[in-house]
Amino acid sequence: MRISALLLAAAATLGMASGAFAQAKQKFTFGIVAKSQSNPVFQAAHQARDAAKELGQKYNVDITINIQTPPDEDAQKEAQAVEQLANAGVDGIAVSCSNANTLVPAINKAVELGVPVMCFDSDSPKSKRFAYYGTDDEVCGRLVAENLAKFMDEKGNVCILAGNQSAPNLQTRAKAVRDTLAKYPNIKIIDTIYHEETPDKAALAVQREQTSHPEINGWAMIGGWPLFTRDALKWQPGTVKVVAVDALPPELAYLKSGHVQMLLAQDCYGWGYKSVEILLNKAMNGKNPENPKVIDPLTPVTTANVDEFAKKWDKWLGK
Amino acid sequence: MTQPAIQAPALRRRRWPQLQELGLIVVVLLLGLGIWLASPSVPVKLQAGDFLVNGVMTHVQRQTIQENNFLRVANLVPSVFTVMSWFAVMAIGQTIVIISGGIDISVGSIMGLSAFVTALVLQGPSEIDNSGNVVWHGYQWLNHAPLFMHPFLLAPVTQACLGAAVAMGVGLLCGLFNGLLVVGLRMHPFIVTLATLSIFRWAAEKIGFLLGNNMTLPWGDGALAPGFTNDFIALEYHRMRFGGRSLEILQFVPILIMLACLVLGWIYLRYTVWGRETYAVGGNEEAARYSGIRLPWVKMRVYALSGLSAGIAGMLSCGYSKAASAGLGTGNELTVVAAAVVGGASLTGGRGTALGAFLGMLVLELVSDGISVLGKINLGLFSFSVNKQDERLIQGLAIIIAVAIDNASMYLSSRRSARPAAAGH
Repeated sequence: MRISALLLAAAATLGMASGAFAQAKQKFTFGIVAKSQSNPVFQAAHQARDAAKELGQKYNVDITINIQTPPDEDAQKEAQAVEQLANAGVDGIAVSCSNANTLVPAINKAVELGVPVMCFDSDSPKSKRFAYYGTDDEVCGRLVAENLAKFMDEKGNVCILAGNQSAPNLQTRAKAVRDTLAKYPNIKIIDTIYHEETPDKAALAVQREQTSHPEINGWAMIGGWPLFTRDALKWQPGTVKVVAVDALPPELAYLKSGHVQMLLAQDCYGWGYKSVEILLNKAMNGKNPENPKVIDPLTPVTTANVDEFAKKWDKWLGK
Repeated sequence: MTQPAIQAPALRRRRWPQLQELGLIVVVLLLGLGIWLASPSVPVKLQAGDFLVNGVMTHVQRQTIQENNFLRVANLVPSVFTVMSWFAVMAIGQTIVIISGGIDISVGSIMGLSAFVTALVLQGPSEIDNSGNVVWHGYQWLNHAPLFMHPFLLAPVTQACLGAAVAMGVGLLCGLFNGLLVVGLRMHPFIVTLATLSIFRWAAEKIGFLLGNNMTLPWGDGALAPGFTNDFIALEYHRMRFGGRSLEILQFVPILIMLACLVLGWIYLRYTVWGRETYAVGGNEEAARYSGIRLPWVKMRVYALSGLSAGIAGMLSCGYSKAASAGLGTGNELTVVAAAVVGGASLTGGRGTALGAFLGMLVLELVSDGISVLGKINLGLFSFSVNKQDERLIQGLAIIIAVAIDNASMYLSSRRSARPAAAGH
C-alpha cells in the first residue's frame, strides 16, 4: 500500500510537472492585414497558419494568427485593423499597404505601443516598420518589360495594366516597365490603365482598351487580376503577347491556352509564411533581418514548367 | 344650439426620447453587452522597471495581465468612436436631407474631394530628424512665393484653421451645387446626386492627374502641416495605466467634433425654424408650400448642410490619416444612408433625428468592431468563428433587424395615436 501510494504521488508529481511544462510554452499572436479579401493573391498569404503550425512545432511555441484583412481594398480600413491589432496586444503585425501614406500613422502608433510591424508585398518605407518582405518592384517591372519585348520581337504597341494607382508597389512597377520599354525604339506604349483590383473590373478594363485600340499587340500586366476570370483575353492565342505578374492556379490556364506567354510568380505563399518567420524571430529573439528589405524571388512560369509549378499550389492553398 | 368649442390638443413637451431612439439605445446596449460577454481576453503587457507601487519606488518584473478585448478604452476609443466619427457626421447631414424627402449619394465623393484639396493646400516638403519625427518645411504652394512665407501663415493655429476652412468650404460648395441642380433642374435628387457623385470624383482624380498623376497626397517626401494633423485632428493623448507600466495612445478630437455636430444637428432639427421647416417639407411638400414655406430655400439648405457634413468628414479623415487619396470615400454613401435609415430616418421624408443617425452609425460600427474582437463565439454546446468575410452578412442582418424594430415602433405609435381618436367617437 505504501508502494502504491508512492507510485500515485510520483505520477501526480509527474503530471503536475508536465502540466507546468506545457504551461511554460511561450505563446505568440501575430496579426496579418493583406490588402483585400477580394484579391485572390492574398488567399495564399493567409496560409500564414501553416507557418504558425510548423514553426510552432519547431520552436516549441504556440503561435496564433489573427487575420484582419478588410473585405475590399480600403487603406483606411487597413489602418483601422492595424490599430485594433496593436491595441489588442499582438506580438507583431504584417501588413500589405494599399496606400503607403495612409498606413504610416497607424504603423507608427503600433510601434510606439511596442508592437513590431513589418510590411509584405507593398511597403510603407516612410513608416517605422522594421522589415519588408516582397518583390523588388523595380526588378519586377523590368522583367515584365524585358520579357514582353522579347516575345514581341522588340516591336509593337504595348498597354500597361496597372491596378490601383495609389499602391506604391504598383507605381514602382509601372514606372520600371515604362523606363525599360523606353529603351526599345520600335515599341510604343499606348496607355497605362488603372482599375479597381478585382478580377471582373480588370478584365473589363482590358477588353475596353483592346477594343478601342486594336493596334495593341502586347500587354504588360504588373498584376494578374483579369486572369482570375475565364475568357478575359478575347483574342486569338498568340496574336497579342502578354506577360503578367503572379501565377495562381486560375492564371495557369491562360499559359496553357497560349493567351499568356509568361507569368512571373511572386512568393504569395511566402508573404504569409516568411512574414511569420520574421515576426517570430523579432518577438522571440528581438532580431531584425540583416537587410530590412528581404526580397522574394520571382519565378518565371512558361509552358515548359507550368505543370510542375501547378503541383505546388495544393500545399500553398491549404488543400 | 351652439357647437362646443373645439379645443386644440395640449402641446406635450416630449421629455423622453421617442420609442424609435429608445429602441436603438436598447439595441446598442444589448449589442455591446453581447460583444462584451462573448469577447475573449487579450494580454496587456506591463513593462519591467522601477515604478511607484503604493507610494514606494519598487523594481517590478515584466508582467502580462488579461483584459476584455471589447470593453476597454484602448478598443472603444480608437476602434469604435474615432473611426465612426466621420461616418456619423455624414450620417447626420444625410438624415437632414432624408427628412426633407431627398437623398444625397454624392457624400462619399464630396468627402474625397474635400480631403484631397485640403491635403493639396496643406502639404509641403519635409524631412525626418534624428528623433525620427517628421519636420514640415512650409506649404508647397508658398515655396514658389517665399515672400509670402509670413510667420502668421506658418503658425500652427493658422494651419489648423486653414485646413478646416478649406475642407468645409469645398464641402459647402459641393452641397450648394447639388442644391442648385435639385432646385433648378427639378430632377429627382437621386439622379442629381448620382451624377454629382461621378463629377466630384472626377474632380479629385483630375486634380491628381494635373499634379503629375499623384493620386495620393502628400507626394514624395512631403508631409501635411502638423498644426492641422498632429496638433489638431490627430492630437494624441498618452494614457499611462497601471502606474505608468502600460501605454495607450488615444485621439479624442474626431470624437469631440462628432459630438459637437450631433448637438448642433439636434438643436437645428428640434429648436430652429429651419429645422421644423425641413420636417414640414418632408412630411407633406404641398402642404408646406401652401403654408408659405419657401421650398427652394429649404432644399438648398439641406443639400448645403449635407455637403458641409461631408466636408467635415473629409477634414477628419485627412487630419487623422495625415494623407488623402483621390479615391477616398468611395462607397461611403451606402454606409451613411444605411446609418441614417437604421437611425430611424424615413426614406419617404418627414422623419428622423440627429441622435438616431448617431445611434444608427454606432450600431453598424459595433457590428464591425465585434467581428474584429470576437474571432470565435463560444455558445457552450458549439462554437463558430466570425471573420471579416462575415462582416457584410452580419451588417446586412443588423440593418434588417434595426429597421424591423423601427417599423414595429412606428406601428405601435400609430396604434397609440389612433386609440384616443377612436375613444372620442
